Amino acid sequence: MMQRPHFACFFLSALFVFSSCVRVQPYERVHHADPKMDTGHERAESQFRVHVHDAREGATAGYGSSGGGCGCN
Amino acid sequence: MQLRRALVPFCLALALLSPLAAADELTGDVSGAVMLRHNYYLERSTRVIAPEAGIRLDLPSATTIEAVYLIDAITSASLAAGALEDVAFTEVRHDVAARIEQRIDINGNPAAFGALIRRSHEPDYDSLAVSLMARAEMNQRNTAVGFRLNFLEDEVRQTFRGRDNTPTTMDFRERLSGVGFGMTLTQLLSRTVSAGGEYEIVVLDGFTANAYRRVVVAGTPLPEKHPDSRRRHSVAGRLAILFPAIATSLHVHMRLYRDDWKIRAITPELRVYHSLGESAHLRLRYRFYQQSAAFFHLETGEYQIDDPYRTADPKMSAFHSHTLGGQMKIFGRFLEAGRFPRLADLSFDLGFEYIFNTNAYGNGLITQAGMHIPF
Repeated sequence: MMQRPHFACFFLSALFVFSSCVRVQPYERVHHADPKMDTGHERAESQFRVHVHDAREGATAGYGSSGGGCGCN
Repeated sequence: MQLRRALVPFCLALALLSPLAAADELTGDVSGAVMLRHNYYLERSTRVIAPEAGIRLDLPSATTIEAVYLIDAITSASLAAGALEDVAFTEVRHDVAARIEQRIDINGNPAAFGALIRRSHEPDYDSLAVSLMARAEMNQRNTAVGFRLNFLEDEVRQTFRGRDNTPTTMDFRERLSGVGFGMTLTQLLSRTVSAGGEYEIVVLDGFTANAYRRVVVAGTPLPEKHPDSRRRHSVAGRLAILFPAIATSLHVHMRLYRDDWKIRAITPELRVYHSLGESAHLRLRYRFYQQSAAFFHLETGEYQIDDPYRTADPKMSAFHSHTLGGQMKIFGRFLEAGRFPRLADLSFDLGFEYIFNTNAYGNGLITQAGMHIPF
């Protein structure tokens, strides 16, 4: 299996290459402000979901307030 | 101490860089929002009720300050949570988070840096986490990069509870500390397509087992014993496509994970958003999760007395889960023409998710209701 750090470098490098090729003008970005595209408004609800996954899965980020009361560790 | 050392230079930098705030934000009103949310989680042996409230202030100095308070009421009959008998008891966790962000302008490109402090307290677990963040937009705001540095300091204790719910605190005290680094990249690819990527590494050091769970070895229940360090890597990608003609967007996520406990995981996720008129949208979400077992997990549970590690943690086993859910979100755009145009940004959401889980925790249900009130 490919090493994840190498994969990460490859992935991010590819996106950087993309960034030099693509330029969407400011007047063309109206769709990106649509809540169906910009999901920043979901930050609060996703935090609780992440906490649930953190307590029940072995592969979530695993740091910050994974308390003992719910048997999270 | 490690957290304090990280925080001092950050506060100094914040004080020095604040005057660089964008000039058009130096005059204006304070605005912000109040956030209210109710979270609920239910599974076979655990129920969590977690209301939360938060406030965000956007100051004319291009500074954003946010504070959120969440209270978890965890009702559990699980031995892994400290129950001495087969009876349910309720434990309360308090979680306070504060975030500050300063936006600045670097050669005409917007940038921001900030910090998040999070403190969680419950009778048998304290956690303090600090994150330092920086992000910048470039390429005429087509590209955004972000960096995040995380510090963690936890203290684990033991509080047993019997039938009368009276807590008995034992002479048990362990520590867990961690450092993490993450970077993100978001790129607009066309008028209706954007992509993003993220890489994160987390290094944990200290007590990583459960303070209560026991493993039966040769007929004797012994405490869990996990390795006292863990190095975790994850990489994630996201592609979002909008189809304006049918008022629908499609988000495809993929996350890959590995750590030095030999756990490997893959998490593809699909979200579909569909507008229901001008002021509402519906979101459907499907998430698949699959992981391999930790190298010290034995499916039979038959550990020997001289085994260096032992676990009874279902999270250490190989398993998979499917999560399926929906959410309705209503925005206040219909109020825009009235007396309170600012309430156009008001929103209300109601959602549920069901987790089909193949490990010992069993299936779970998440419901959430939230309100965002701008002022």
